[in-house]
Amino acid sequence: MANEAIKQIAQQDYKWGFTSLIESDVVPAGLNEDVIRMISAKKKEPAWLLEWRLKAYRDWLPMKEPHWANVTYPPIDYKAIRYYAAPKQKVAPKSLDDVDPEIRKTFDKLGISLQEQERLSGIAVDAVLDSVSVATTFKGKLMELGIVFCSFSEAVQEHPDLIRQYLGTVVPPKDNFFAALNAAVFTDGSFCFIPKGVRCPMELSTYFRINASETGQFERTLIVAEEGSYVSYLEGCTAPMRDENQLHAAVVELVALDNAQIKYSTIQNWYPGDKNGKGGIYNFVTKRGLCKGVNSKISWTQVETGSSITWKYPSCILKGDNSVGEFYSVALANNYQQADTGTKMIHVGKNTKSTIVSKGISAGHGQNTYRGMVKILQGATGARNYSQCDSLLMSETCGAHTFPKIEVNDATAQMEHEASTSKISEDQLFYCKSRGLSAEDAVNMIVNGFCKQVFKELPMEFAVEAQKLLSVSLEGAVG
Amino acid sequence: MLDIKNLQATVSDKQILKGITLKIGKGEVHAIMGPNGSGKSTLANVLAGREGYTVTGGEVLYEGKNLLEMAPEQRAGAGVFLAFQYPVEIPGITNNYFMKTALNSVRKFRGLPEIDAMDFLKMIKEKAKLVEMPEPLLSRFVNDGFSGGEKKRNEILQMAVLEPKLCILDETDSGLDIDALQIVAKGINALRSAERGFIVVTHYQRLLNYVQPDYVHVLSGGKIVKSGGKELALELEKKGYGWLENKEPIPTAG
Amino acid sequence: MVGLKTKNLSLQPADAPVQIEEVSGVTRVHVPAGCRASLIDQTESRLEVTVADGAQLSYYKLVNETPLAIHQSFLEVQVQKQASFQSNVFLFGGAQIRSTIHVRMDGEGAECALNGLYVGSGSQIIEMHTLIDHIKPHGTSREFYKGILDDKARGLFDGLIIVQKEAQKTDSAQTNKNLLLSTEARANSNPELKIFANDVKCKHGSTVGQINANSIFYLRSRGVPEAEARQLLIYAFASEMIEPVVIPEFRETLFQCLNSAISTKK
Repeated sequence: MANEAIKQIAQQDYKWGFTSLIESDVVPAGLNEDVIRMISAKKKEPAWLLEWRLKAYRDWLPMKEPHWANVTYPPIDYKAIRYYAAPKQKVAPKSLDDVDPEIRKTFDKLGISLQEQERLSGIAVDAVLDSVSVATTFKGKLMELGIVFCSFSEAVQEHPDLIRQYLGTVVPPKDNFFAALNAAVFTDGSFCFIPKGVRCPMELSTYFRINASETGQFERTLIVAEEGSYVSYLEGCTAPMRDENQLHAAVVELVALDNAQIKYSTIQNWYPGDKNGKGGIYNFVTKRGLCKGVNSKISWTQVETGSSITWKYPSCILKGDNSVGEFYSVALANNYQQADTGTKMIHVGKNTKSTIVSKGISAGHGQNTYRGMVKILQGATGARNYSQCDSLLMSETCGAHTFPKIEVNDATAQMEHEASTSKISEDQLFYCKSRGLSAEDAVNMIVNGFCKQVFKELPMEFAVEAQKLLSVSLEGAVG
Repeated sequence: MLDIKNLQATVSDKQILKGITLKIGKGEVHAIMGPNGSGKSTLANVLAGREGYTVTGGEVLYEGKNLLEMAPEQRAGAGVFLAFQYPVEIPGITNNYFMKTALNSVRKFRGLPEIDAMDFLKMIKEKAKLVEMPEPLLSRFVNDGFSGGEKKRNEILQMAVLEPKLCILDETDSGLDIDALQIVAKGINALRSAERGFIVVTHYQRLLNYVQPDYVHVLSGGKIVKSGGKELALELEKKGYGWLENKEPIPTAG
Repeated sequence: MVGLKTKNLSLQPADAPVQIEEVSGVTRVHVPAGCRASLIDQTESRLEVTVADGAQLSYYKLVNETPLAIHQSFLEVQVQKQASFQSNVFLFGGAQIRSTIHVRMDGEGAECALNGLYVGSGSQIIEMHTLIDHIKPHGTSREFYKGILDDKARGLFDGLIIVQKEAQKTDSAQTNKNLLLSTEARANSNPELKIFANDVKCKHGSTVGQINANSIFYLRSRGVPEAEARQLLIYAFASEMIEPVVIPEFRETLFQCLNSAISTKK
């Protein structure tokens, strides 16, 4: 009988590519050193990485979960979370007819092609094969240029030296509660390395990571741009992403060396919960870029319309002289969503420059908070910062809050911050309507105008998707 | 009075002036015209000594002395006046106070005593009439809340108060409607004299209908490509700048 | 200054029907409906002020303590329907100065304007904490604070504006400008907005910088030597806040304080 059981398990494992008989995907819930060792062993990580994880875990234990954000949520039970799950076998729908009609409706509204819809739904058809072959073609091209773009786990195996050199140098585990947790239990993510002087010829998107498994809870991404290189990286997609895992605590580290440039764009539409705010995803992310080299530049562009609670502050440390940090963001909080997002720009080197443009849209009972920090250290001579935070209020029950913190410790710095809050003016609406637009179209147009400064920083396709996403997310918000 | 020889200058590492040679004599009005980006404002700013402009070659002699070695306030003391294209707002200092301070500084340079307060008030009220500036504006903060026309008129008023020898007008006519333009022109003309030289930088010919130049020079690509009398301005008005773009720059002008 | 009602405050006009009384360490000021008055405050104080319907109060505060003094003042104001409250705070001398002003816009159509100037040098620490709470609709608030910081001085501007759900048609604007004159001076600016109503117009702006290079050039091109030009512009920066004070003797006093505070500034 036992043999039968083992045989069954063995067969299961084989289907998913595991080779060990003892493997099982039943990892007990909760977090302790054994779970971490198990995770590390499953991924066949080198000893130094296991040590790194364990140290992070020990650092995490005494930490307290931060509660200063302007968001409220029921307490997270860390003991109840399963920190490792083997890639689940998705019960793939046989055709689009099997897909949740709500999701299909969104796909249609977003203008996503049928083929793309099938791929996103995990339908095993030629379409998937196509995308696999498409992805392989690009991968080949990238390899010729010396660009590495693969999953984090793969990078640990293929490029351990690079990982070891840069991992945790921008977001050390001790940085904050969620960073420590992530460092201990991260499952996978992306790794990208652009060698000296190379300009990545295409936008790198997480799409092309051949990964049929569900997005992990604790993702870790590391992008390194060597001297004189350039890369534009896209994260996320407009399709609503559902996940049983409520908590997502990712860490993204970017390193730009001399004269290098990294452009990181995100469109995030995690499931925001139903109309009453139940069941949505908590998106807590630590994203930080280190402008290490002289004349380096890191730009964060994000469009956040999803999640029940969003808590992220993509930041830049402007260490290299003449380095530039940029943050462009549109954050939407509708129904019962809560967004607490913003950025930190820390000016260290000389003649550094930072630009912050944050556009918040609040509708329904949404609460949108911008939290920013501009810190100009002593010695950061010639630092320049310009920040603009605008909020658009679309209902009588929503809220918009702005908490910028500005600290200037150098007399040659110049900092300028502006914020405004308003609602869509009756005049603007009337003007649009008098030119034949419906109220809904008018609102979309005005909102688009409001967000234009941010949208134009997005790579073109993303910008088009973002506009559509915004209009779909705002449906019913008018009136 | 002003002798510019092969002046070359860069702004933000870009070479804008590529060799300007020009002589301005006392009592002469020289108009500098040219398409956008030709270097007109750069020339004006270099002559006034603004930071951010690097002279890479050539020389400028003002009354026999090296102008480029003088600090901006020294140039003002020596009688050089730049009417800004974008006059600066200084909330907290009234026009009266500003002009009195400036006048006293300039008088100090010239070895003259400070002006008596009563004399100053009397003088400035008179000069204000020249540019049709209502008296209340004199007690307002410098250019604070002033319309475009009022700001330009304020520049001419300052010019009238400081009585410079060389007046450089940097696109003083830009952004003005016909009425404002006429007032500004009237003020400029009132200051014309046999001892005073003018460099009038302008893009359009309009101003030159009211302030008739003795010489017209066309700047293009950082060099003077054509010089002539006031008819040249009319020719440009008719033909535009295009017909001059391909011309060879001429070695001397003026 | 005429007509002292209590030893700390000076009321103008002296015979205005404003009620002032001391209650366990706190000075309560009641400006009755329709009354217009000004209050000049030159000491460390705890004040609770009510500006009744349609009344207008202009409040002036000067802190010019000795170099080692520590100064903390509190001001709580309730502005009622159609009433208007204006505060002008000038902080010059004192090792540590902390000024806290809370304004409750408790009546429809209430107006408030908070202006302030702080000039710090040596190792002074100057903090301004303001809170404007818009509770009823059609309120208007304006805040304008300027700071000049030299040597190792530290300035903090902490301005929170809350617009409650019923406070529709609120119109609020807040500006904080800081001038840093030395490498070790520090300016912290935390303008905050908490908005729960949607039909509102709110904005805030904050700048930290040095004397505008363009402005220095403008003065130099008019013959004013560089050092003098800088001094003049520092003076201008501050005088924009003092010039509008309508009480002549008080304005004079302020200019005197300003002159001695910046006489050695670079």
